[in-house]
Amino acid sequence: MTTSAIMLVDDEVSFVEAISKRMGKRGMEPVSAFSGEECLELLKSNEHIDVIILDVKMPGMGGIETLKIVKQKYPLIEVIMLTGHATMETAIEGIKMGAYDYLMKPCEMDELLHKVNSAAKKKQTHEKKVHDWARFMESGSLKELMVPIDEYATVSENANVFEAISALEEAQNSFNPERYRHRAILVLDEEKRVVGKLNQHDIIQALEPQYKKSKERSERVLGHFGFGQTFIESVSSHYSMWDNPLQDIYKKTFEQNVKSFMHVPTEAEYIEDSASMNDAIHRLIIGKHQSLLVTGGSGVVGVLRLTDVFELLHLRLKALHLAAKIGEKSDGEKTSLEEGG
Amino acid sequence: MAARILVVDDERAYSFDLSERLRQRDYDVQFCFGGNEALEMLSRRPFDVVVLSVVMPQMDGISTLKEIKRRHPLTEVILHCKNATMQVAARGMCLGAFEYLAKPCKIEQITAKVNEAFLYKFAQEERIRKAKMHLAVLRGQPQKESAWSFKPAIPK
Repeated sequence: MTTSAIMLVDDEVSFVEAISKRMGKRGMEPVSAFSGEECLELLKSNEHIDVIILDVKMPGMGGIETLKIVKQKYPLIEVIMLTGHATMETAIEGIKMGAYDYLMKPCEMDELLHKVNSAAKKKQTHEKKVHDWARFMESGSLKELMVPIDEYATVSENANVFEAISALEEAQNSFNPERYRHRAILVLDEEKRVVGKLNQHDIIQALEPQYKKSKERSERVLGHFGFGQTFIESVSSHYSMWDNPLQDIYKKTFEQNVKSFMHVPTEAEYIEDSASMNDAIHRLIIGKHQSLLVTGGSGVVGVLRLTDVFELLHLRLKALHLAAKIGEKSDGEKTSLEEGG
Repeated sequence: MAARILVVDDERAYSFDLSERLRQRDYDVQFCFGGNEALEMLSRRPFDVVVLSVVMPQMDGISTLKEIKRRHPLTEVILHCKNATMQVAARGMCLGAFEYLAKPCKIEQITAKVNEAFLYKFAQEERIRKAKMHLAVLRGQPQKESAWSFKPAIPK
């Protein structure tokens, strides 16, 4: 078994020192904390901790309260409650709340090590499972990560703004609730080919009164972030953009059609479904795109969203982090996101 | 005592079907169709293992998992969903889900994981029972081995 990372939390300094000295002799290097607050603070920089030995009774934040927060923030870390005779009931309460076990003070070193080891083993087994899942996902391709086209809401290019708003709302409410909500809809031409994208930004911009007049100027404003807030404010007050009654805006939703303000994807926003994940990430970065349209045999087959790519990246990094801990070299050697390039 | 299982899935037919198949294998099974409903059922009676679908309208699997783990830390949760939701599975595992099972899968796979989770929970309950006995001894009122102590029954 790999050595486990342990944290000792007790306000009784002599106890902490004695135990860590004895653990030190066995090649363990426990992190020491002398209050619940300090324990939480130290966890921020010691996320690799497997087991916390936590005293039930401490001034300030008590053991139970600390346990609650630890379990909420780091559900996988195992906690062993350290207790005296008088606080035994609290310790049992702790186990019911998810602590792994308890230790009675003064404790036998063998018993302590036994309990620490089995708690650490439980945590490491679970981490291994997480790690396996993350690795399993690494073999995933662009196709698996993208949102299939049939899950996306679409409107016809001749639809008006009101219809587009309704479609976007529907898309946000109904599809695939386990992922992030959709923030965009696709625009189809008469032959059901994807010709554009619409997001909330496009729609609100289209509704802006005197949109056409301000368009040129606002593009300049948005295009060059060098303009100060004062300048942007003066532009909007000059055109008094949102001062018109809502009635006007409502009318406008029926007048304009989607085609006139949708975002027409450039060539760089299309990517083949056989392309590599690296290529896709590169394109997202270079073009500052929120998503790419994935093309397959029959035209656009899905949308690859920045949020999904980000989450994948995050999980892979986490997997590497775990792998480094578990001691698997193979994973650490790969710096590329691609499995086998 | 057989494992008490709660099946939570908004696909009503699936939920019903899975429960029935587990029941035939001698588990004590209840089912419901949503996260809120599941939390309510858990507050009414204890369950050992929750088989939870990740994709559900209203309260999704991840929020339900978080809430179950907050209110009933000892109850083990097995996530169950379609293959396309791997990322959610990994996130759920980080949040303390016991295991993840792709849908559809063989009933044997489900029962194997349910049994594993049940034994895990049982071990934890044993620790609590022993701690209580220890406490009683400390107070000078040792109890006989409780008549209520049970052995986990793993259906064959």
